[in-house]
Amino acid sequence: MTGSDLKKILLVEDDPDIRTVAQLSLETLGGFELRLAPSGQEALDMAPIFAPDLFILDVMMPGLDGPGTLAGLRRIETLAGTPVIFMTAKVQPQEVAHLKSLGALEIISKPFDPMSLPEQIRSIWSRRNG
Amino acid sequence: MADRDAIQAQLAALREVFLTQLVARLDELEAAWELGDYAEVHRHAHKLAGTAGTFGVTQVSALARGLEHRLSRAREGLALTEVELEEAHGFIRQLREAAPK
Repeated sequence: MTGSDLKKILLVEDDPDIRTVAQLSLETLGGFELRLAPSGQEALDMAPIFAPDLFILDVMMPGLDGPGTLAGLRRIETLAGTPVIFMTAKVQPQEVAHLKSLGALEIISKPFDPMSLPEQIRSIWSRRNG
Repeated sequence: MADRDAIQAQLAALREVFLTQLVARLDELEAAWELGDYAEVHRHAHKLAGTAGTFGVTQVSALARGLEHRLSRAREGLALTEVELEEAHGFIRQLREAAPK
């Protein structure tokens, strides 16, 4: 596989402003087919139909948080192997190690740079397939 | 590839909207503070730190992050110490000063 195989991204983020910026970044700039979910629960509802290539999950969200959402996704058979990237403001080594131990491909620190986020995602994706 | 300048202009416009709404956001945060609802203040601070950071309003983001950290025990339902409350209040005052008038 190559980086060009990454087309569909489902991003889960509770903050509407950050969703707007992420949309400009990933959809308008990056050219990905993007769906936005405002909560983990809504992500679980949308994901089986949208069938994304990649999930990007905010870690700290009210209700179902990022790790809780990941656990829910892993219980859906068709999505159990779909890669996940976490986004978090807490990037201490132990936190990163913990999130990776849950099966995350990579951890992106917040705030992210909207102008370089698509390249960052593509680079993570190609390393995964490398 | 979309026009990067157009996207940067849109980001700048969103940043302006954020700045015009900042005082109202701080009002909400301070209302929760007055009620002693520190878990709610923590929630506002976390959100503000993330949004301000995303728009490159770094001073506000850093202050809100400091406030969030001082109140992290409130999020776990624990009582805050006087020092934590004092420091938290200091961050709120600095956020007021940092917000555009």
